[in-house]
Amino acid sequence: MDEIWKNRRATYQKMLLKYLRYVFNDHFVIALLFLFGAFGLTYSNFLKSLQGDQNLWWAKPTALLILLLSLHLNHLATLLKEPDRVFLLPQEAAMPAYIKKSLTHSQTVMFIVQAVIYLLLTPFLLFAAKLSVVNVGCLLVVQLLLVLVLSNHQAVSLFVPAYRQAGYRGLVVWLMPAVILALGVYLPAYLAVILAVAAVIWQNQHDKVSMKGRLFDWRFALDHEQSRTTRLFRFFNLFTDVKSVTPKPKRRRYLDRFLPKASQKPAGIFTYMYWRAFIRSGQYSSLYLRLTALGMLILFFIPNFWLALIIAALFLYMLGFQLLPLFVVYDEVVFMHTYPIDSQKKFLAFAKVLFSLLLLSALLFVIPLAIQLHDPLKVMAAGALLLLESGFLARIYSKGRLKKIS
Amino acid sequence: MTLKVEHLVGGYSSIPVLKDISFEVPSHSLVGLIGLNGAGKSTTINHVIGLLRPMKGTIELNGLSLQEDAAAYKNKIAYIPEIPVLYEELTLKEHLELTMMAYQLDPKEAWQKANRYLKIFRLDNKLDWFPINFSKGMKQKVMIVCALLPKVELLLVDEPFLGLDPLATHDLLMLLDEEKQAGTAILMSTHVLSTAEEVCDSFVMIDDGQLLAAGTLADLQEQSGQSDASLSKIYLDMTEK
Repeated sequence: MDEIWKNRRATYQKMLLKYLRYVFNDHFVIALLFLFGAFGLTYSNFLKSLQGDQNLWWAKPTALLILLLSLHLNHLATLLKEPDRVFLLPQEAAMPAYIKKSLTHSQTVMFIVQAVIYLLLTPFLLFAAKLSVVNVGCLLVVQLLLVLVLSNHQAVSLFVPAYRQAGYRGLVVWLMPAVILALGVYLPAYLAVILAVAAVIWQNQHDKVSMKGRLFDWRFALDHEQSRTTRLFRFFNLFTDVKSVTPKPKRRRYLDRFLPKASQKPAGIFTYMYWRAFIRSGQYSSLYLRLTALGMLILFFIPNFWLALIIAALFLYMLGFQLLPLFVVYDEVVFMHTYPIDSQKKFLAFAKVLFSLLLLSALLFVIPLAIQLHDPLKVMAAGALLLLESGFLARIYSKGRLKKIS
Repeated sequence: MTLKVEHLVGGYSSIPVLKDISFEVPSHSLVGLIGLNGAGKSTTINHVIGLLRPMKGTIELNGLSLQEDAAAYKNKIAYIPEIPVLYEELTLKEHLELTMMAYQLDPKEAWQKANRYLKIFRLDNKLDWFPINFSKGMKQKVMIVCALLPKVELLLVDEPFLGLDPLATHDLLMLLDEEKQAGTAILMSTHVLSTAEEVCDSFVMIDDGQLLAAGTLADLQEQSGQSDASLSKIYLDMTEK
């Protein structure tokens, strides 16, 4: 098992490295530098504006919330794989030791992440929340101890189903850290340190008792690991193509009434499939929603017409580009080749679906523009341009691109 | 109404898996395509349904080949794959509707047929589910129902018995018999020889991409010189030679 863990960790790190190379490509690094600079500047300006004796009642709750939420960024990486539940079954007895190893590894990573976040937050704690230096130091210790508590909880819950119940979970991973952190923020922080240490000790005792005679819950552990890697890959997917995990489709019954009914029209069969695939797949609809929402959000903050228009056009292009793989979504199903269907109609149906989707996004992008600009003529011009772009992307651009991928 | 395969040479890459295979599947008959794992059964079927193109030889259904008129050819065949393939995002009901749309079936008639099959396979209360979450046997049943919906001239069934419970196997055989009586030509690949011996009208035996023998059980017994040998005995003898 020791060997297995070492192997897994090595391949995992190699995989991360491979994808991180794509994430931190040249353009992105430059953009990131700018972003980081801009962030630093805004942050320091923001802190300067807080100097003086205004009533900063909101600073402490904000700090508390950020600390609490950042605790939940951590996920135990067990690096288990689906076939393990068959092949490692005889190793049941070795699982606690295996999980312990992965826990230690994950905790190291978590500590680093927390320390970086805390470092960024420190100026805010000092100048906005007006904590003393000693308190800030104590609070860091508290934060790291809480990381220990939360990650231990994750590890033990792989064995003990009761740990996963909403009530108990809420108590250990939300309420208790919230109370301890609140103590640290509002009262002398050494009290919180004492409490956090007590929590770690209590948890250790409690875990030992609950672990007795428990079997490793393979199904839960594999689901847990799968959803963790899915999140990770979804992030990488923003930068490059990730083949491995695709999210499971969801039924989404409430959307059924919007779907096209079965029809005898020759192109109907493709429209029928594409809409269902789009709406229910975890992949395309969530991507569409995320990009559209992000685009709208950014547009709300851009008062310059031309810049806003360029960004809206860019987002529309990204949407169109990212939705192209929907075209081949069912090409692997053998019936697409054996059923007597006219594949000539496939592109037309796809273009229609894509156009409807892009049009909807374009309309949504026009809303923030209209709110920002108060100039009906410009807004209409922008709407018309985005409409043209949607048509171009759906009918002409996609045709060229799809020839390459299918 | 006949499927005619003549001198078929074919495979996945440039190396042929099938080496000069010829056989016929007449209408009103169930022909068993018999062979071991890797003998070329699925490859043969993939050629007949048009997933693979023959390197040499012809495949004709009533004189109509895939190359001449793909749409007309595909309209006359239905296929039950060995490993169920389903659309991840479609419900059972939508799979059936899709089949009806593809074959341009009259929805009212087709649903009557579908409801009967669904009842037989005890799927009638699962219409709104994603079949991708079903068990292997249930997925297989979905494949069967979809394939039986259209009125076709040739039905291709690839290794249907694995994963089906005894009741479902019995029901499938009954439905295949019904199709046969209605005039459909059925080609069924399998290596469950005992069942094949019971239900098939004739056999096509292949091994290592070559045709070993073809004909009814009596023909095969005669060819092998063992007048009361079982199908499995004959096949094993032939592959050993």
